Amino acid sequence: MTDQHFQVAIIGAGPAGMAAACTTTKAGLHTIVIDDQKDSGGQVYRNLKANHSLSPTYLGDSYYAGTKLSNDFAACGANYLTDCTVWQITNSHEIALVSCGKAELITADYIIIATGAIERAMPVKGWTLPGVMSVGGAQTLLKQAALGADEAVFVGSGPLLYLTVWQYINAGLSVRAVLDTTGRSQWLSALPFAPLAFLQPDMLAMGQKWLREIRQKVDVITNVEGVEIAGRSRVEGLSYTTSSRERIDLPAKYVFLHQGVIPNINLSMATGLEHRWDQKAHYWTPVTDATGKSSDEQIYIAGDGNGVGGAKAAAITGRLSASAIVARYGKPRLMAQLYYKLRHLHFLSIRPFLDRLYLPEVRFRIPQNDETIICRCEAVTKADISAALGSGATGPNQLKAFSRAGMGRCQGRTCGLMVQEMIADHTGQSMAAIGYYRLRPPVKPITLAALASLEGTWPQ
Amino acid sequence: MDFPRGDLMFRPVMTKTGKPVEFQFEDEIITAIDGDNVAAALLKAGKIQFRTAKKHDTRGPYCMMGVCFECLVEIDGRPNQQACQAMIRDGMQIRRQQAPDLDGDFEG
Repeated sequence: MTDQHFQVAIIGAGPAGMAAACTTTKAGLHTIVIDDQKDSGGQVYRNLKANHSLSPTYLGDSYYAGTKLSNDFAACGANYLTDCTVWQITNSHEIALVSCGKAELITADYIIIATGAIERAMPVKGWTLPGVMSVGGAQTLLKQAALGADEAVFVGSGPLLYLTVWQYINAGLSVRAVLDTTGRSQWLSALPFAPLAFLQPDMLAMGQKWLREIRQKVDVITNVEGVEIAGRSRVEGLSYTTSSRERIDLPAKYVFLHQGVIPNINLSMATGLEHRWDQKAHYWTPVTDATGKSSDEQIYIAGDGNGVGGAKAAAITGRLSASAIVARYGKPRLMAQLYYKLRHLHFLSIRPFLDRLYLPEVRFRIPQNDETIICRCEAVTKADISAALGSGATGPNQLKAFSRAGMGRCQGRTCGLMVQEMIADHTGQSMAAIGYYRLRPPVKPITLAALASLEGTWPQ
Repeated sequence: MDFPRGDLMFRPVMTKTGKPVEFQFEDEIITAIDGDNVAAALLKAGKIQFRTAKKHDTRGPYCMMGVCFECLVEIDGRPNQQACQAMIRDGMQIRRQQAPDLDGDFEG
């Protein structure tokens, strides 16, 4: 790379990152976008360009809604690094990255972290068996490689689950069953917020359409509990309990799990930014102002990484953060900012309803079975964590030393909230008081060879 | 560790055109389409067990977006490669990543 300094560096090329880059480049700011995927779009608009030429209709309108933004981003003139891992942001706003196996440092006046969301874990017995995937993973295969598995069982809750099932049946795949784990108490807590959700009538209508079309072709079983997946070295079947307390066995080769998405906070936390526990949404989220400005004046956080709001809201928050940065260069965009803020509030109107409806109950957040693995990387079971707690581990970081949970390659992305909640249960403290793993750079594993290739000074 | 093959496998839902590429997985030659990632190419060939975490604990792709590190394989002799992030290439040699045997029976 010839340039080492930029006015704006955007990390992540999903809807938030793409929209932010369109805004900063339009204002003439020297911008770089860094993304770890091969193509822009993030997860939600993954592989959009390639799919657009083949235009399979099964992915639906909500997917192709990203077309204009992707095209605008491709034409916006921002420097764009693909296939590139950011592993650290330093106090002096150096961004350490690995591109083509080589480590580099760049600097920026302002940084927008737009690293999106990841799926919340659904730790049921047998969830580590090959053949079990997250629903997001199954959807990625459909978008990226046009691959699907017939007779799969979808288990869990949330909009992404139903969207993916809908895409599956539209692609001509047979779906064995949908086992919906949404409990009655979730419906009760969500109902008061239903009127607010009607501010997003098109979203509600879309959900209704998916459900109607799915029910015509697939068994949708609601109020499912006690899900256990069986198999020796791959999935062979699963069992569950119905609302009438009947135990059902179902043969299956593929099981796709989903319990909603949570902000991907590994980079923002490892950067030392302030975070807060959102008890209603049940996840950690960065502390920011309305424009996404974090506890570090130079760093903004846009998109689902700053609280899950979906693709449209993510794009708006990208524009909001970007226009706030543009304003700091003496080009205030007051009307635009007001417009973005109102649009953002509008998109968020459905969230109180969705967040309450689809927040998994505790029996789906923590394994019910002692042998179930919590930390997949280090194969640490619930019993192992209980034992560590029994020997006096009092917090997530001490528990790492006791059990190795969270010390694997995914750096706690999968097990973090489960471990934290088990500690909270054991000690009777709140989730906020327990805190999260202390995350440190590098936020993604990098090789020593890549590190050794770093020329000049080390990150300060 | 034996890796039995399932009957149902991931299948293409539309015709994708592209240059065919040949790669080796364990002792098998498999054809894929240029532009697929390694995980997709293996799943399409019915391979879902990518590695072992420890004895009798087999793992396969889970998140497909680079977060979970479950799909690690050995590519051209380099261990710890994320199959969902690596692109398949002609002549690639891919092997399952075996966890060190915790009972002390290390190979090689």
